[in-house]
Amino acid sequence: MTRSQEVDWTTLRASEPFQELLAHRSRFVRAASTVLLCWFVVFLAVIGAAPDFAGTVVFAGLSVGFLLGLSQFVLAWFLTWLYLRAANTRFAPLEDQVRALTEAAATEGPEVAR
Amino acid sequence: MNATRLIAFAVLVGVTLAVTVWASRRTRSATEFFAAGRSISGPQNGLAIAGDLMSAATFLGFTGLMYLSGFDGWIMPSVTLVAFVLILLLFAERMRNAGRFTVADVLSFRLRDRPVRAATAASTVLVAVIYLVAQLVGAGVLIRALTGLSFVPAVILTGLAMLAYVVFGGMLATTWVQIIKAVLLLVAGAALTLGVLMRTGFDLGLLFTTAAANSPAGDAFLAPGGSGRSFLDTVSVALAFAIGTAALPHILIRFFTVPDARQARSSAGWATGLIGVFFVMTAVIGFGARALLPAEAGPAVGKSGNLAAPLLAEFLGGGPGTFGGDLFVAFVSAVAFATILAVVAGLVLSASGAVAHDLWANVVRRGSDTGGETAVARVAAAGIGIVAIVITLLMGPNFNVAFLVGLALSVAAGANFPALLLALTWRRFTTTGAIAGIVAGLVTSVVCIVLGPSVWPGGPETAPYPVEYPTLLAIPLGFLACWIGTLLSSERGAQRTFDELQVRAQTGIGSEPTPTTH
Repeated sequence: MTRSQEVDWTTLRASEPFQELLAHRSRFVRAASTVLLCWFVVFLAVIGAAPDFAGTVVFAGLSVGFLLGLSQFVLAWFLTWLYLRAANTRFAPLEDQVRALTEAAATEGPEVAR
Repeated sequence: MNATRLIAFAVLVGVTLAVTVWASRRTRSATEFFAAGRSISGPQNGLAIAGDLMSAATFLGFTGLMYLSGFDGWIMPSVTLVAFVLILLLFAERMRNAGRFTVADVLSFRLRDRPVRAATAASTVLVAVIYLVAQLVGAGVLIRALTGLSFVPAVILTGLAMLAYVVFGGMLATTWVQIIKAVLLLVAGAALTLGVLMRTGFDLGLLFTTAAANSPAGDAFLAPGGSGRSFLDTVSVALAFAIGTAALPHILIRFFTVPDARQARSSAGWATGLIGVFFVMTAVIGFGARALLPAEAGPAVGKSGNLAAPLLAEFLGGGPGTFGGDLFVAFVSAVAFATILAVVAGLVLSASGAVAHDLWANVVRRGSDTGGETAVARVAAAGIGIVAIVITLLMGPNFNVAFLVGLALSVAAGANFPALLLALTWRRFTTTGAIAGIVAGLVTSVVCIVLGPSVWPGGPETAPYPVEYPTLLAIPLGFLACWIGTLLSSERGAQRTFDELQVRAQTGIGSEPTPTTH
């Protein structure tokens, strides 16, 4: 493991690309988790509060409850796809920029890095 | 005894042991033993994670529950993917970036090493052993039902194969056994699904309405309530699968086996896709078994419904006594057996990492030479495996394992999940908070199980805690204890190292490299 002393983590954390990375990723994670957990609660709430409604067949023998369950899968796949796309196109370049900062600091000598 | 099925089982054990021999030649260093030399690709690891989750309990158990209680059996598979999105968003990349071999590595980065490792290792070992006993009891009962081999030799044979994979082949063998099993299980699931759809003319309406008409419940088969579970029970079970699964140590350590964070998130993505497809297939299989199997099959399926999928295979292959039926059921049974072997191997490995890497190398012998870590891990794996086998044999085939799964998931959800999440995201979080949360989650889970309907000596009706799974209480109390413990303490070091953990976890700077040689 790279020793902690080689890198000034507090400065790195305050750097512009890292702050941008953190802001973007945190916003995404918060929004996606909220949507995910809310839909999970809706599914359980319908089962608990309106079991008859959940048992109503919509079409082809599929009940409201069954379709709500199926929608949990669709939402999970959609959020996964969104995150992977954001991570590969938006977060990864920012990660590279932060990493470039440590390499630049390393070539200038340990005093600068510290 | 059934010869076709025994041959199928023997072929499977032979193939997996050959993989173990191959893997054992490549498993010497600690990185190779615990993390397969970080050589597993994203899609491979995704298959292995899917394999960890697609246990006999999910394949046979979920299809059986849908056969027995219709819609209520569909709730558990529906909510499980929530856990995998949480893993992708919160843990997958961060585990790879900031950890080495165990979940405790990530916690101990910013918290006081010894106490936090000891507490996390204890909960990891507890989760693994409970889950292990549940799987081994299930294995013994299943093998007995499928081959006629009796309980004791079935458990011992399963246990010996499991120990061989882990002790000799480490993570590499465990991963490949898991991948082989995941592929076999997906093939078996697809074959059963296709068989059901062909019999019903690819008409979903016909499938579901026939299933409802064939069930004692009638139309209510497609509505909630078929299992007779209370709403609080449903919520507790859903929380266990949605939150507890996300913090199971044997799933989280899989993210240490890939070369970098990109492969870590890719593996979580593959896992979500594959598990989702598989669970949708279990619905066709479970409801299909109800629609197609004759009413006389009811008693053969059993009280837990575990034999619904194998009986459906026999029916689709041509019926009992026919060559096709015999062959198909042998294949499905062998796959179910493979599933158990792979899952128990992963569990033993996670527990041996906690003992060797956390307790032995970093708590007992802190600071001294840790060259013997791999040797200790092999001994620990053997020890944990043997303890679990002995407990299983003492409990016997009639032991109710359902509450053990609930206990393991509840400990993961109440003890591991809050501490891990807060260590990664809350600057103010302290060691005292982490220990308080882990202890609270653990104690609440155990107490609620003891006071609950499955264990309470006075019988289910008089149980003081009326719900089977403790998650509804364990998760909030776990978070609350983390919060109170943190407010009552102050830790300068934990806040300073938070910067370091955050930068490392988000960017992968200074993460464990991939060794280039084997």
